[in-house]
Amino acid sequence: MDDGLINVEWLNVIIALGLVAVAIGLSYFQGFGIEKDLIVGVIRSVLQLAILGWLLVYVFNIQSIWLTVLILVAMGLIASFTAKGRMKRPYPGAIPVLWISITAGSFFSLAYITILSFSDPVALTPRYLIPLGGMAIGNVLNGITLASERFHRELKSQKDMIEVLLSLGADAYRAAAEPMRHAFTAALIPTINALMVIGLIQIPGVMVGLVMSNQDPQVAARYQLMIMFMLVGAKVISVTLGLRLSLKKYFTPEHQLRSELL
Amino acid sequence: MDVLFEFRSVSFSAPSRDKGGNSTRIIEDASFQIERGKFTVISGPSGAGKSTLLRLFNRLADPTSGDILLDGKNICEYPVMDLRRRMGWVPQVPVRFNGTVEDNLRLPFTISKAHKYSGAEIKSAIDELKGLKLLNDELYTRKADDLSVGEAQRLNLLRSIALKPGILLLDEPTSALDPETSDVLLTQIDRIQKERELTTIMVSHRPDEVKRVGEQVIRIKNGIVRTDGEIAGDLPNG
Ligand SMILES: Nc1ncnc2c1ncn2[C@@H]1O[C@H](COP(=O)(O)OP(=O)(O)OP(=O)(O)O)[C@@H](O)[C@H]1O
Ligand SMILES: [Mg+2]
Repeated sequence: MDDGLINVEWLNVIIALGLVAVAIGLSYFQGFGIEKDLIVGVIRSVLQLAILGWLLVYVFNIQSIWLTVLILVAMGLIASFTAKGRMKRPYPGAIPVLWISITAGSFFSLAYITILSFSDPVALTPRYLIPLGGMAIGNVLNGITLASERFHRELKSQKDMIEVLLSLGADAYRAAAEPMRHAFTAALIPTINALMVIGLIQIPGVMVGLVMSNQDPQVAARYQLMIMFMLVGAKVISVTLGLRLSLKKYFTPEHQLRSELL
Repeated sequence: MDVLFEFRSVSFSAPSRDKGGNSTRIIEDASFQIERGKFTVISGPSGAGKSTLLRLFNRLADPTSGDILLDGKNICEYPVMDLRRRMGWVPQVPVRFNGTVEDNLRLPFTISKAHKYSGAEIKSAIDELKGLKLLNDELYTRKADDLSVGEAQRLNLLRSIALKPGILLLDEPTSALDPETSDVLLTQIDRIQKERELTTIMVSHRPDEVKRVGEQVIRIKNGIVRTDGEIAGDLPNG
């Protein structure tokens, strides 16, 4: 390969594993007790990434855009089940709400970035769509999990206030405005913080990859920015949609708080 | 008798928190009428279902079965937000919002999309509330969080009548007060009720209060409602 990237074989990986062995040894002798988790983590990461690497070889050869989209849809579905699993008290009908929100936000941003921003047919191949889509979905998953959890917690703790607002003639949306705002902020703060410090302390992942494969660091920076902006857009859309739709679950159409769900 | 509310075989079960779990029956087949302009007291022991019953009036919850009529019409036929604005509701545990006491009183005027108020309208409404002398003047600029529980209860009462409702729903508004203060507040409520000709429905478990202000008494025990015009009720534990 002429991109300057060093070829790595499994032997190279095994040598790197030496560091984890050191960690396991230290944990053992210090009595920290995380050896088991570390070993499980290592085994899982090796298996998952080996399978991913192997899968991507096939996926990148896919010519059909529809098959690619189907893979992304499936990823969105897995993400919505994961998000529901992370909720302490998921409301009934959470999966459709989560799936619609996660898919809408990540697909819109992915389409925007690849079609308008990259504006090159190559961006519509699996080699771009799958990793970018995966990043968007993963990011949105984190955002929507944070938002849902926080929304639920705020509704529960502000139950009395919400009912007073309803009693004064506020609609459900107005009555839950404060919990929604908290949930939205909680979900977006990590992203905003990431924007603030990006590049100050560490070089972000995509940029690392590009720079190590001998790409122009300035191009790499632009890539990174486009991806960051995609993640911001995806998250804002998904979280907003997710909150609006789940609001309809927590309240009856007659603007009554369904406190049995809290 | 000029009937304002009529409950017809109203039952209420709280939905289960768990999927497929059983709901809890709280109000059992209640039938009674509430007279317009009168002071009605709902009384009964703790856990009887008083608060639950009160929340049915302004549709914070709906009956599982049975009908509630307002002026002869099912309350579900009124737009729910308008219905609620016709009634002031004071929760059992006083609720304060961020900001000053005055901010709390301004809230009712700013939360409805359908009803807008000008700054002048809001100001004169708040001045009128202050004129009721329920709270000391210096309290209005204080943070609502700093109020004592008794003061917060009076703030809740003021906020609930800010929109000039014709109906007042009070859930033990004197529960956090010592006998003297609660006596003063009760007198004030009674005065407001008479002045504004409010139909007042107040939850209370204190026999002395029931006796003092109740023109009509609804007794409830284990979700079973009994009405009696007489203040000296027939349920001993009333
Ligand atoms: N959501 C709910 N799920 C199950 N049970 C409930 C629910 N809400 C209230 N209950 C039960 O219904 C009964 C009546 O409650 P309610 O709050 O109406 O009583 P109350 O008469 O106002 O009592 P108190 O004087 O103590 O305020 C209680 O036994 C309570 O535990
Ligand atoms: Mg009660």
